[in-house]
Amino acid sequence: MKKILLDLSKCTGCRSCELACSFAHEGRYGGSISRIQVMKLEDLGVDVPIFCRQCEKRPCVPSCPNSALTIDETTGATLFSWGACIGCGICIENCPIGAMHLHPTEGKILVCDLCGGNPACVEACDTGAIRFESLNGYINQIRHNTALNLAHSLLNAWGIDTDQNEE
Amino acid sequence: MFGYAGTILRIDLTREKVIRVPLDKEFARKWVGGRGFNSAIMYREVPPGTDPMSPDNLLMFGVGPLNGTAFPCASRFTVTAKSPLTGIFGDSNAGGHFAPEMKYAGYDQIIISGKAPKPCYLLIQDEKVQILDAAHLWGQDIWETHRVIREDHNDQRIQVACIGPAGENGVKYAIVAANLTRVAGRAGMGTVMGAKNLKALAIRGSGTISVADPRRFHELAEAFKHKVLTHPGYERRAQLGTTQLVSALNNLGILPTRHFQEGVFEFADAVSGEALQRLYNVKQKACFACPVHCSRYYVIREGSNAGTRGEGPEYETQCGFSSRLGNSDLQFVLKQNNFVNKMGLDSIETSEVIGFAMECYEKGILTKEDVGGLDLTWGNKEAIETLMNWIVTRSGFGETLAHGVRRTAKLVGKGSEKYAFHTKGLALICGDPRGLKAFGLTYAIASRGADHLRAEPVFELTNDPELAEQRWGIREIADRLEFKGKGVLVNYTEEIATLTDILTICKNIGLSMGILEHKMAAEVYTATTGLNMTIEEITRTAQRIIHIERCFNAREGIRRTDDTLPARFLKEPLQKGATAGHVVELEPMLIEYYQLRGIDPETGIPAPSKLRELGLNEPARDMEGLSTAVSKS
Repeated sequence: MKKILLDLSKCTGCRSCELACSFAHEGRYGGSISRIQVMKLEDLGVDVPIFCRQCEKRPCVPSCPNSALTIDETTGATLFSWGACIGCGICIENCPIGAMHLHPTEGKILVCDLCGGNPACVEACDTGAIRFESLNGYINQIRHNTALNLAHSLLNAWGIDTDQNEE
Repeated sequence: MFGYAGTILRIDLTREKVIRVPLDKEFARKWVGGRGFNSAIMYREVPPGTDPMSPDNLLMFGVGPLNGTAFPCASRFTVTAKSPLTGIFGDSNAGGHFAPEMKYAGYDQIIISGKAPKPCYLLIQDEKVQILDAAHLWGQDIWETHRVIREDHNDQRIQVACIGPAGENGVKYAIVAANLTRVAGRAGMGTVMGAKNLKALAIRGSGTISVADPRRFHELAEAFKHKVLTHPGYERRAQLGTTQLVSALNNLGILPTRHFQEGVFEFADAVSGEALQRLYNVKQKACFACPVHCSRYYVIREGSNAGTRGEGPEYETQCGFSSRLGNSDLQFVLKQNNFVNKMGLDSIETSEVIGFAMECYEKGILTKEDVGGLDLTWGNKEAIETLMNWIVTRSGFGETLAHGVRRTAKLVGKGSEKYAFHTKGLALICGDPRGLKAFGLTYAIASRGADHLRAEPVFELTNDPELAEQRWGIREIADRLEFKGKGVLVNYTEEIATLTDILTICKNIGLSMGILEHKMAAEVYTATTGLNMTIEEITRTAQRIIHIERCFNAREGIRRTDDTLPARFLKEPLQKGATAGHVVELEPMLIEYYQLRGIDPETGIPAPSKLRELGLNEPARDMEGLSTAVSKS
């Protein structure tokens, strides 16, 4: 299953992801209705998009008193039933990373639904700070890079030029 | 309404009164937004002779129909007031994230009048508007003010536009800053804010913006973005931003060096954007919805300045505190960038007053005793730092410099006026007009004084005579060292510059990269607002705004003779480099420009017939009155 992955060094803080999210879901623009929220740590120069990470053990889902939250079997996204959600905010309280908030006018919660498997925010990100990838693929790539780095000194000792293998 | 938020917010600080006025559709269409809204109100509501520091002056924040939408690079807001630095029309513009938040809170324009009895700040949360006590913020720098407001209200997404100690202390060129370093820097808008006892606007909106024709809007936004991303200059802009200009202008022999005495700086490489990128930049930063991310975050990791970090600098600050003052230490530039951003000084006027003092010192007009015992030799970092501290607190010689370069020269006297580089009281930017003829014309005619942003005619740097021929029939327009046809060029780019300001699109992209033209402006306005806008009408709108500002200044007594440049640029050729031998041939360019713009070449006053053509009937009558007075005298 794919997840939205984040590279903080590439986020410029432009918030195009928020605009894409709000438009994709409601056909209008506004940070308050975006399910991805960019926290700008201005005095540190870092911008951090916050969004649902589809936890394996999702504290939000069982916390809902009205069973409004479910997990999409295909995408793994957290879904909520518009009809069943009573806007009590218990799921918000239970989310450890602050990925949910209340809709400013509808009295319902907002959480990333991965746009059904094609996230609009990722589409809108020009720098690749957020991308939609399988976590396993990502791990594989990282491990491969790590292995190459670790092999570096050994291969050099063997007299093999590793420059072409370097990332 | 589509595009617009639909409400103008009026706040009277004297009476502590808040009024919400629905945005009138006709007004909206006639002035579009941002600078347009503000300039219209300036002419109507700030009568001639108003003291800029008095409660009668207005302070306006204007945004436009594109702010808050996904249209690329439309993040700007304009702050407008009568300028305490120049005594005439003043405005300044900044990006960041303040403008969209103002729209989400529900406002297209905020008009602040009067003066609070004691330091206050405005907290605007959707319909809820509060005038709050700012005793704990007064005296704090700009970065601390952001931090405290967000912490006080436990909301990190509050957007703040505030002043620093310079604005509180009445330094005439104080800035209004948002997002710590996105700065409306020119013409003393922060000074007006300070005079109103207003420390900050803190704004948070939960609203949304809808566009009239989403399908067409998306097509246009995508087309605009495609032009940006495929532009040959994109990669460099996306890495270095405006800092690429240090080496570029040095190569052209127009990098202001030791206060415009030279156009080539021997240490340009050391203070260049490339050096900055190599040594200190750690990340690209962007304004709202902008794919260019031309801004940069820097960290000094080693040495005595280790730990210094911040965003920027932009070219003007970088050049202002390096070559303009003869300093070759890039770390010093980064430190001063943080200083002006925190204390709230315009880096252009600040570096000009110091450069002026240094040249006067070199020429023997100012002595050590005159300047509080400082050694004002070029590049003396300790002296520059001391002067900057004195300016903020208006102590010692800093009190003289705090008035801006025109007034400083008056106070210094002894023939120093010829070294005060300003037009209409606003200091010249870091671009020597002797090698940028159309820029020279722009500085001379700009409504807020010696500034490039009213027309930024970068086309003269293209070296593309074929394109110039095709567009205007004048090949010389593509040559920066030619004056022929530059009135034609400025007449055109002045309109594009105005369109970027009223559509709140960044000028670096809309104008400098050549992405916006009249047709795109008209189409995106229509798709966004649903109000029909033709190319002809948006052209008239741009002209209307250019003229209403000139009318405002004419009413204040500004005439043809004020459209000029300091004598150095008209009479003293540069000696070395790629611009050697050149001065600005201002006169023929001015005449060409006046004719095309519909301005009386004798008086510099807009022709009433032109004003009527633009639907400016009342200003036309006012100008007739002025013209009669001029011819009688």
